[in-house]
Parts: sequence; C-alpha cells; structure tokens
Amino acid sequence: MLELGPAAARYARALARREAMGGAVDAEVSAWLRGDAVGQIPGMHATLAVSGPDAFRLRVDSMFGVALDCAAHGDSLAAYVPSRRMGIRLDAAVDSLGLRSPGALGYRVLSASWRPPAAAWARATTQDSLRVVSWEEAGDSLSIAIGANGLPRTAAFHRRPGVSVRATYRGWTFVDGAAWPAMVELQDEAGRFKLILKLTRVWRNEHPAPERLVLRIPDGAERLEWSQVRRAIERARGL
Amino acid sequence: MKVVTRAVVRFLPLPAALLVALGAGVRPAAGVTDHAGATTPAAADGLASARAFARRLLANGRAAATIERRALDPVTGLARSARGRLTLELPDRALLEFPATGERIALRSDGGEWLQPALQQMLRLGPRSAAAGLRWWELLLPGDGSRFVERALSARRYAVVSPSTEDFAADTAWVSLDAQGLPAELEYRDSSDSRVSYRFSGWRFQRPRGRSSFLLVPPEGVRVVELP
Repeated sequence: MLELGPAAARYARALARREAMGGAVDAEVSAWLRGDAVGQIPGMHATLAVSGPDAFRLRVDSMFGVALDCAAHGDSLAAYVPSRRMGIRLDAAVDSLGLRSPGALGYRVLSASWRPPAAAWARATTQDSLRVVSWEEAGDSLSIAIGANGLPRTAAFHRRPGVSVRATYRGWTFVDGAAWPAMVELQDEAGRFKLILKLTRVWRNEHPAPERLVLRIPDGAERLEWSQVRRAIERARGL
Repeated sequence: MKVVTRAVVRFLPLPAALLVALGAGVRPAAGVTDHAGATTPAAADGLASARAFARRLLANGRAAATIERRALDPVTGLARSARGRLTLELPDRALLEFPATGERIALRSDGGEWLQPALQQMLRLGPRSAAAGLRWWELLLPGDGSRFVERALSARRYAVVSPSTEDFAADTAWVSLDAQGLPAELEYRDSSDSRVSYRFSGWRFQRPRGRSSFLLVPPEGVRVVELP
C-alpha cells in the first residue's frame, strides 16, 4: 500500500516541473475522435499549444491546409473552420456551454496540472495501486488517481449531468526533465464520445509569440451563434 | 482491414492541388501569349506559366521531380519543411510521396487515396474530395483554362487566379519558372491564410507507367475511411 506522504510528494514534484514549463508548451498531435455522437471520422494531425494557467489552442491541419482551429483563453472559446469560412466565438462560455473557464480546464487536462488541496490529500483513498484524491472546487467535483510514480492515471471532472469529462493518461514523455502527458484519452460520462490525443512531439516554446494562442476569425467569415452549433450537433446525433 | 464510411467530410482543403496544377493533363499552350503586367484570361488550352512543362509532359507522358514543402506554423512559430517526390502522368494522375513520414497521396480525376501511416489510416477520396484537391488542375484541362486568369509578374513569375465558384472563393497561386521554363516554385495561401511554398527540382520526363502506379492499396491493419 502506498504511503500518503511519499505519493503526495512525488506528485507535487512532478506537478511543479510541469507547471514550470507549462507557460508555453507546443506539440504535434495525432488525434482520433470516436463515438456514437460524432459518427466515424478520420484521424487527424494537429498542432497543440498550451499556456498555463488558462489557455490552449488546437489546430487540426495537414499538408493541405487547416481543417479546424480552436482556442480557449480563460472564459472565452473560439473555433473556426477555414474551408467553410465559419466560426464561433463565445466570450462567456459559461452562459452557453455551462462551462466555466474552458481555457483553464483545457490547460489542466492537457498538462495534467491538477492541484488538489491539502485537505483532499488527507482524505485520499487507495484503489488497487492508485491513490485517489477527490475534492470540490467552485461547485465542481474533481478526482484524480495517481500511480506510484507520482503521475496521474486518470482525472475526472464533474459539474453537473452532461458536463462531465474523464481524462485517462495512457502515456508520458519527458520534456526538459518534466513528465508531460504523451497520450490522453478524453471521454464524456455517457461514453458518447472519446477523443484520443497522441502527442508525437512535445517541446517547450522558448520564444512564444504573443499571438500564438489567439484565434482570429477573418472578416467576412460567417459567425455562428451557439444555438446554431447546438442544433447542428443535435442533427448530427440524429443521423 | 476496416472500412468505414463518413457521409459528410470535407477534409481536403482546396490548395491540395496546386501541386498538380502544374501539369498533368495540360495541353500545349498554343496561341497563348505572355501578357506582361496585364491581367488576361488564359487561353482555353493552357496557361503560359505551364507551357514548357506541358510540352515536355505531352512528349513523354510522365514527369517527376523532387519537392520541398515549406510553411510557417503560426501557432508554434516554426518553419516546417518536408521533402518528397511528385510524379505526374497523363491524362489525369498525380502522386505525392513523403518518405520521412511514409505519407502518400494519389489523385486522379475519378478520386484518389491518401495514405497516412502516422494515423494508421488511408483516406479513399471520392470524386468530390478529389475535386477539391484538383481544383487548379481541373482548370487547366482543355476547355477549362478560360476560367483562369493569369498574369505575368516577370519573365519567369506568374500569378494565376482561380475566380470564385459556388464552392470556392477566388484564390491565387504564384508560379516561378526555372531557366528551362519548368516549374521551380509554387506558392499559395492555404485556407487559413498561411503562406505555403513548394520548390521543385530535378524534373525528369519519362514514359508513362499506367494507372496502377497511381493507385494506393492500404497496408494490412490500416483503417480505410471513405470520403465522398
């Protein structure tokens, strides 16, 4: 059985290293989206940029161009499909998605930067060989399961029914001495979708351009409302 | 081999075909004159920027070159470069190969294949997806050249404009020729307005080998995704 102290210490050390480099980390990604809610679509190449504590950008591209560009910073979220010249920008995602600070959530998921309070460590339990730490945070329920190496195996985020995500960290790589997630699976609580991200190359961006995380929807592009996107998703589910 | 069908995926942004725009299927540009500084609809049977290339392609049936793709990634700030090989063959065939990644793309007027080893998949392109990739090339086909507007920027550099259509906005490519009049560089802005360039070298013209060499077969275990 794991000792609480050493596990927490190992986790804290690894987390500190990730957070130290998390100000600007870039990666090349292979991504697969699976599930009944999305049908079957091809795997994709993407470029990922994260910047702690609350920003990320994911750009699905190939040698032929960009299929989808999405970015989140704090409470705002934007996405753009260049081939259709359609985009959406939600400046307060909580009002439409019911999701507070998608930028922070995305950063935490992608960098595995989960920070349980000390009291949560005191209540930690053991499941198989994992230490499970659960806590409440601004009305959200969070839980991480940590392996003996001090790295999280899973992280679960639950706000309310319909807004729950489970991240499974299936592989890690080392960047400048910090363990960084190399393979992440994201799944909703109902199992309707699964997003698999395999980071094929990860590096610290030594000279990040200020605009690298800023998604600009071009003038003249069609700007969608969230209600339109939601109806499109519902139609897709009905196919 | 798993085969899945995706009903509505427009996965091939249009500039794919700027590579193949240079050549397969073009006819000699007889009657086309240079229009230095002037914007003039290209002749229906070819563009001045492709004249020398088309002549040699027609004489041999097949052309191949080493290519280098360069693009600046606006997210990471890194200049990306990929070296590969382009093969074109009459009447309607193009093959792109990138040995470093194993990525291969075959395009024909009836469709094509896109093998992506890193994703363990092969996209099987139907005519619609291939058309998106072949937009520029199609406009060089006999009878379609009139839909282009070509402008000579200098003796060896041209801007080729594809006017807007129902499906695509107007777009421009810049073609530079070498001393023999063969394509040396092709530049365009992709769908996200990032500048992309392809450099060509070592053009070789050979006898055609037939459609089978432009037909990709999925390796064992590779997922095949059908695109319309």
